[in-house]
Amino acid sequence: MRQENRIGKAFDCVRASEELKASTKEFLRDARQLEQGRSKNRGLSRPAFRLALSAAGAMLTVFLCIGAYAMLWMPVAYVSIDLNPSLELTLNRLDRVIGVEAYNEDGQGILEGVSVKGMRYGDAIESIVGSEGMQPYLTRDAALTFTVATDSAPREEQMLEEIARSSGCVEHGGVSVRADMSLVEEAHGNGLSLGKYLAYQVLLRYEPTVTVEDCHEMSMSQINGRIEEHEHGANHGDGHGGRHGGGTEPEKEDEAGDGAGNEGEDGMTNESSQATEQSGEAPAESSAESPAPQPTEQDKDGHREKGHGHKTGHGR
Amino acid sequence: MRGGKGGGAVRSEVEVDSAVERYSDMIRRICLYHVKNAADTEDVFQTVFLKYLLYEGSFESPEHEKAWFIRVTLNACRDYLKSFFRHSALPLEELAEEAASIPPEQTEVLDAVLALPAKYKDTIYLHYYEGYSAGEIGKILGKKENTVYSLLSRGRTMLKEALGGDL
Repeated sequence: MRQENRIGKAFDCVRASEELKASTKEFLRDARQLEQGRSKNRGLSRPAFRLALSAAGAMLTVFLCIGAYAMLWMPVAYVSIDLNPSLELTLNRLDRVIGVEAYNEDGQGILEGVSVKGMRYGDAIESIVGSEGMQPYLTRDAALTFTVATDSAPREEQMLEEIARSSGCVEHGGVSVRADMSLVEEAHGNGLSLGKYLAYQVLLRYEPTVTVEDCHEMSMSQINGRIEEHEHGANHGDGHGGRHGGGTEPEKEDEAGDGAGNEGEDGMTNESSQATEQSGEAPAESSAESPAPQPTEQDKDGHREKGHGHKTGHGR
Repeated sequence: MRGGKGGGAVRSEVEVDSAVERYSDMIRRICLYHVKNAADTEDVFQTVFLKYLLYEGSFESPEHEKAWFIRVTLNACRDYLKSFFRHSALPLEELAEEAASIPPEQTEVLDAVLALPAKYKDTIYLHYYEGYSAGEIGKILGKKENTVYSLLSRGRTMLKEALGGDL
């Protein structure tokens, strides 16, 4: 290959020494052995190992995703807020609101004015109760009811306590009640919020003819009023309950005009329920649904209510 | 030409040893004007032949194989220099073991080539020793043919100035 010129001649003097060639060959022999050993391994264990490794990685990723999903998007608790507006919050494991549903038109109106998604449930309840749209419903005799359903007993305890301390209970005479988790699906299947469905269940015992549709159109205080009536015998006659009672005549009472959607009859009945409770002889059904109008009694009442509510939830 | 090898296996010992015999001198010359000392040269040898051992492609012709070796050697030298911040080839006197084996009249020529700026040395070597045309050199080095022409003519001018007379 060498060319006949001075540069060619000069370069021709440069040769690889035999030692260099020998050491290179030596090196290559070692390298080949190494490589063959590696390719033998590669044939068996290595791809298997890699496959196992990547499969493990993939599974870990899947589990992490499922875990994160469960943490963030699985409903573990429900809080329904019933007055006349009927709302229900769905909570995740971190006590954050992941869903809020309105179960009647009034509730829809409230939701238009307030956004609670992502909030802790306590804050969410405060902002719903404190919202502009809620104020007309928060009359003195309104039966504001918070109904809590969750699978975990400690969580339930904690939620009931926190709700009992909220301004809804302390200032507006609300009560917090527990319900069985199994009721949630049933309630939603009937298009009612949890709290209203619980009340409906109680009313059903006294009035077997009452339907879910009737309850759709009744406010909590109306339902409670009718329950009270039955509990306290026939002293009010059979005509209570307003427009929707099965075949009964509407009846207007003295307080009828004081609130949006609130009928008047429960002012009295609540008072009487309060009296019976304080005397310690409240029957289970009564207390679960009756609001306690006196703020000073709230904490105590809330807890007592809770206990009865428990019975109600299971006792259907 | 010894073709490619079956999937996965390395080249046979015979094949690799034969390549060492055929290409060692060429690689040694390229190393002469690229790297600094014998240890570096040995490293380049190992890198180049290891690549050959593991190379899974096949060569269409001996010319193809030779061009492959030139490219791989140049890359190895370049990587080697890059990684150690070394200057390329030193004057021949400093390469003691080389100087001893080379006649003095040739040493002068080699020194002149080694003294050229780096970009000229490859074209000068490939043209004057290996006898490649400008087009072929362009393909091996990945340069345009015209670039190779101008590198060659400027390199030649510098060598003539250094050595005097024809090349």
